[in-house]
Amino acid sequence: MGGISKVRNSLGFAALALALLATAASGQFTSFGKNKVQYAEFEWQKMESEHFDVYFFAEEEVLAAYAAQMAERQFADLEIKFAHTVKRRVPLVVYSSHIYFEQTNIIPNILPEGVAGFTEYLKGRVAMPLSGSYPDFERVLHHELVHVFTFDRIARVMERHSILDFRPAPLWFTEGLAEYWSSEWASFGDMVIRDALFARRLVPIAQMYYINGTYQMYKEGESICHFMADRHGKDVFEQLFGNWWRAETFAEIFEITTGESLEKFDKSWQYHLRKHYLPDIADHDPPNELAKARTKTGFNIKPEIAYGDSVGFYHFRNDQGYTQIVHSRFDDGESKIVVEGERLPIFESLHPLGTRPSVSPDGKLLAFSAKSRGRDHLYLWDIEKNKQVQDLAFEGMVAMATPSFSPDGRRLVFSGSDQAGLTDLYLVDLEDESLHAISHDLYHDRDPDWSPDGQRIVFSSDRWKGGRHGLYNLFLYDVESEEILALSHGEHNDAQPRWSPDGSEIVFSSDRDTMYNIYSVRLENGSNGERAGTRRLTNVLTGAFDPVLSADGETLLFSGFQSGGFQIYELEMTASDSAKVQWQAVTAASAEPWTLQGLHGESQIAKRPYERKMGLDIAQSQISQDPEFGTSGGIQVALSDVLGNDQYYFVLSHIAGSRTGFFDGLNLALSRLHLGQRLNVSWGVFRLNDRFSSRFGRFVREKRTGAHIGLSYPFSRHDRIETRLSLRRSEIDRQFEGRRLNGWLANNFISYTHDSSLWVPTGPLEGRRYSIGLGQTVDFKTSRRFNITLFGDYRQYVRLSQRSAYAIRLMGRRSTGDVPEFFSIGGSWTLRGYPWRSIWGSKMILINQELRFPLVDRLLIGLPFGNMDFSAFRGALFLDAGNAWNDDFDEWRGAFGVGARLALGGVFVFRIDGARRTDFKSVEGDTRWDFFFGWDF
Amino acid sequence: MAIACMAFFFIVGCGEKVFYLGEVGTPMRAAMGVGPEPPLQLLWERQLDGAPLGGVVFAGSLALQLSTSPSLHAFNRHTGAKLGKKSYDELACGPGVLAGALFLLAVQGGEPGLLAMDRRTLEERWFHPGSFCRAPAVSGDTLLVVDEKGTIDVLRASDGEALWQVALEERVRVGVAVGEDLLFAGTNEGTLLALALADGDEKWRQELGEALRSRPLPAGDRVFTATASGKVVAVASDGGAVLWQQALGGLLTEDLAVGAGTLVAGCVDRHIYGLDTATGEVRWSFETEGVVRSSPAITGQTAYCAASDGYLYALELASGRLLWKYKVNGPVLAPVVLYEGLLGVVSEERTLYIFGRR
Repeated sequence: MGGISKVRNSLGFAALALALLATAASGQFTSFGKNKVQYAEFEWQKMESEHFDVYFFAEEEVLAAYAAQMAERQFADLEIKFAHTVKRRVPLVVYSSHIYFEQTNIIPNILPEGVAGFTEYLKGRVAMPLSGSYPDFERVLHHELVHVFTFDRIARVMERHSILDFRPAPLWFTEGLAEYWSSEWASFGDMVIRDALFARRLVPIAQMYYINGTYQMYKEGESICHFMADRHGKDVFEQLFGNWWRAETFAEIFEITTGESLEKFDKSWQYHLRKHYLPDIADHDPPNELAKARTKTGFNIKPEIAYGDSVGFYHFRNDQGYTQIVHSRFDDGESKIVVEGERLPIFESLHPLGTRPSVSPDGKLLAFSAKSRGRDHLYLWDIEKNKQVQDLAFEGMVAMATPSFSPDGRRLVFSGSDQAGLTDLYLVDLEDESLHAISHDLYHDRDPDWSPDGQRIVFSSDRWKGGRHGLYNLFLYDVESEEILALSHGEHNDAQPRWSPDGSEIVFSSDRDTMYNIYSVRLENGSNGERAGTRRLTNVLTGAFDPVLSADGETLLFSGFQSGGFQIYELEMTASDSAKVQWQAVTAASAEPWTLQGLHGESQIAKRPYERKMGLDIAQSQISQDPEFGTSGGIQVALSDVLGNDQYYFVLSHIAGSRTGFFDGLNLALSRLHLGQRLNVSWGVFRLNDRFSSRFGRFVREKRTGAHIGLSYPFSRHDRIETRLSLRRSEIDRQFEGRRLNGWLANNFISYTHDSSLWVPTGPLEGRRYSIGLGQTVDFKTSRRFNITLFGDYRQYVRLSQRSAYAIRLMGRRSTGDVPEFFSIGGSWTLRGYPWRSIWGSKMILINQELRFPLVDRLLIGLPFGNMDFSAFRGALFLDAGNAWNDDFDEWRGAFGVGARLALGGVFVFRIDGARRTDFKSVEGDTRWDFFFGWDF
Repeated sequence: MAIACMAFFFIVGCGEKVFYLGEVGTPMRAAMGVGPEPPLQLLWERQLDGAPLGGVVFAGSLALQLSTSPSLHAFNRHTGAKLGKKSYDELACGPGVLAGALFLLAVQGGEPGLLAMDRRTLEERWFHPGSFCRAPAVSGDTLLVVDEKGTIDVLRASDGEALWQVALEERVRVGVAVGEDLLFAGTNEGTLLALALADGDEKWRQELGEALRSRPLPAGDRVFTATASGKVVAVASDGGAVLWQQALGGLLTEDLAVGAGTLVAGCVDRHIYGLDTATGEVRWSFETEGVVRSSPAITGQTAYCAASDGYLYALELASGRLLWKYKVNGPVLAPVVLYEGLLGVVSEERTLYIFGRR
């Protein structure tokens, strides 16, 4: 192996440690990235059932006991379905709110709001939040446990047959099976499949990777599993897993098991769907055929009409990756941004799927909920002045949704979730901000809307017997008597009720005919008491949601699902056909229609304080050979506790060819990272003898022994301040300048980093990133100052269209002192057209400008062994300028050119840039090419 | 001579090139009156080099156990002394079976098929192609095998010559069984068939509505089987009329066992069930702490069954009362095997246990 291999191997061993250690150069420059902020700190405990270790904090003990009991029931169910048992104990980490769940350190990823839970395969951990609905919690838990069983079943089958490679199942199959075995086929599945068929967007099994991880993939996978069970028997899955060892691909295993090729099965499935769903077109229409689309691009939902506003309507919009509240005009469709969300800590998330904005009766204020600083707030926004006028947050209230003004505009009703995860309705007085709970029980009360006469609040809830199975009906709350009445009855989901402006009827969305449509219910007082007459207003093929009536009651706005997205539609209201009205009595709601009791007694579940037992995350070893430096070998081990809050990294390597004996060749580093609190703390000790090319491309050998401590405090998801201190005994051989140095060095730095960028597969497209910092290195024994280093890095991404952007980076570094640090530029990531790290000095400046645009959305290359699919093929035009120097800045060096980027499996980006150098007076004739792997700056 | 031994990897007496695998005899499974009554003593236990493939096969003085590595391990059945091991290049696809002078092994890999070897020398005698992952049935010098596509081949054991073949045209997940003069097969489509043993003529068929997952068990005037959802069915062996059906909690063991008017089956719902063979009524059920995939075996008064909780249970056949249990070192999926006063059970932790009475 040549020198380059040596460098990579040495760095490979030390990579983990170096990421944490404060070394002379690397420690002073922070990397970008968003923060997972620990806003709330929990006292974790553990509950042990027969097969599960349930981790919870004190406020959610009831949820944890319920989760343990449900998990045991579902475990027994899955034992039968898989004909298999999982012998290991399953760690189950529960969170009473999605907001708390987003703090988890079990996986490093930032969790989007759409993630309802996950199963992590390294330690087999399941983590999930309560969304407010206990039945939904059960369903998600069941889903995740299917993953636990699937993984274990495959692993045991392979182990049984002494086959070392793990053959993972395709994602559509694992998720489809988890959906199939955790719940009944539901209206949302019909909606997605029907839409995919009619919009010709149904993806065959062979091409399912096109939609990997999407909701459509989940529903198609579930549909395929239903069809598989119908065609080959319900035990076909147990048979598939039993045969997993017999072939290498899912298609082969499927054919061995069923005798049918997956290709033929795929065609049969598609034919079956067409036969089943196509007749629906006879008496249903897609939303755009029966109503007028009022929005056309992006994702638009939750329309809200101000009573005095005939010009337009408010709604959530997301067409560029961030959610906004906008006001769209009826006449020309022009939209004006009212509230810009998800760019600043104050509106970190607007929860577009779980809430809606509300306009005050006088049309002056907009109320909405947003996540800010670790919990939800209710904000009042002055529409005319375009600014926030009130910020409501309540002690113990974690999540809030769907505010609705009282007719006098002095109060709000909303749906709120406490630390235990109970979701109830609350009233808040906007003057004194006092809070009053309408309910406080385990039922999931949501979507409240205040009647125009102020006497009643209509809402959707699972507080009826069918609610135990996750079905919602409508209820009325009498503000004066505090009585709750059942407005609708039936085995279906009624949601998002809104009063008409005159208070004569309520419009809502319901799946009572198996498709979500808009219905209207009118209240009347008859001889037998109050009754409710319901009629259907829409007859869409896919789904209609979020209804709201115009001020004159003549038109209806709703969100419609079509072609895989949501738009807002307007429908002229028609006169009621009395023959089609179905009447039901309005009755008193049952006080306790269902309970969580009837499970095993809690006495069977032992509780213990949480113990930070460390488990292995990574253990790997490596040996490399180099003709110059001989043999290197080493191991690296990463350990963490169940919650991922405490992490240890241990690196041990040895350079066998060292000329100075065994100990000199030994590299040893231990680091600890504590992420369980908002202030992240790292410390470690190290003894390293590195022989690698330094970051500026020249050889520096440093033998160092010491310790470090680092602190990182995130202000929000986007901003953090970091500081680090290391003390070490160091012997440095700066071979590139023929200088040897010894000393007791103290190195400290402080930096501030911001990152609000929005990414596409090849790199950032919108937002901003910057980092500034200051560091110094001194010999604390002799008080000799080695250097002071200042650095700054600013990157701005200006969106030009949906998928193109102008990006600029300004970067500067300066190091002064007896032993300055050196910086290098040149190559694909910095100054294109110049060799990799070829320009270096103690001062550096770099300016990059780049136009980023799409070339091909999906590139499928046919190869003899199969197709290779590239999800993003994008282009760039760039102009770079910069230099690095020691004494005096001499000239700008520059390059301009064109490049292409290809995303490979979401992990790598292949880059190619063709550049011509320029000194800004003339242009060189040769085009120089840079090939590299890495994201755009 | 030492070279010959190494070449065969099977060091059962290296005096000659012939490797003696015990007396000719048919291994006993699910037969009454030949097993020991509890409490049993552990006579010996031995480690294997892979997970077990099927249960132990007793042959004369030997106890043979096939493992997924794939290897055939031979032990002295009385002492547990390790007599040898033969490894195979091809992956084994089903349990090994002894048929007269042959040892039969279903292989898959390059060409799947049934490999018949001389039980003394382990030299290949004949090879019959097909995907046979279920144990063949043996009737005298006749072998009856069914492949996954539902083709039944009846072969002469001595030379592998095909006597007759019937294509059921339905896929099959369970092995065939032999009655007095009938052969019984169950399909994925839920069809239970009786064919004449002599020529394969269909005598009757019964549609049971869902995939059959327990091998048909002829006993007296009726045949028992069970479906994928756990429904046990008894049909008349002379005409196929359904006599009774009993729904249990899930998939049942691949083999059922009958004795003293009681049908015994293990179930994935963690129970072992005892059903009245006359009426199908559940006489008793015994709850284990794990999924039961290991097929039971019955002696005069006792049903033996093992579970994935790692226990071997001895239950009173009449009442299901627990008489005795023994914890082995891991889950048990392979069937319990009885033979001349011995009981063999093998755990997923690759350990073979032989029990008996000292």
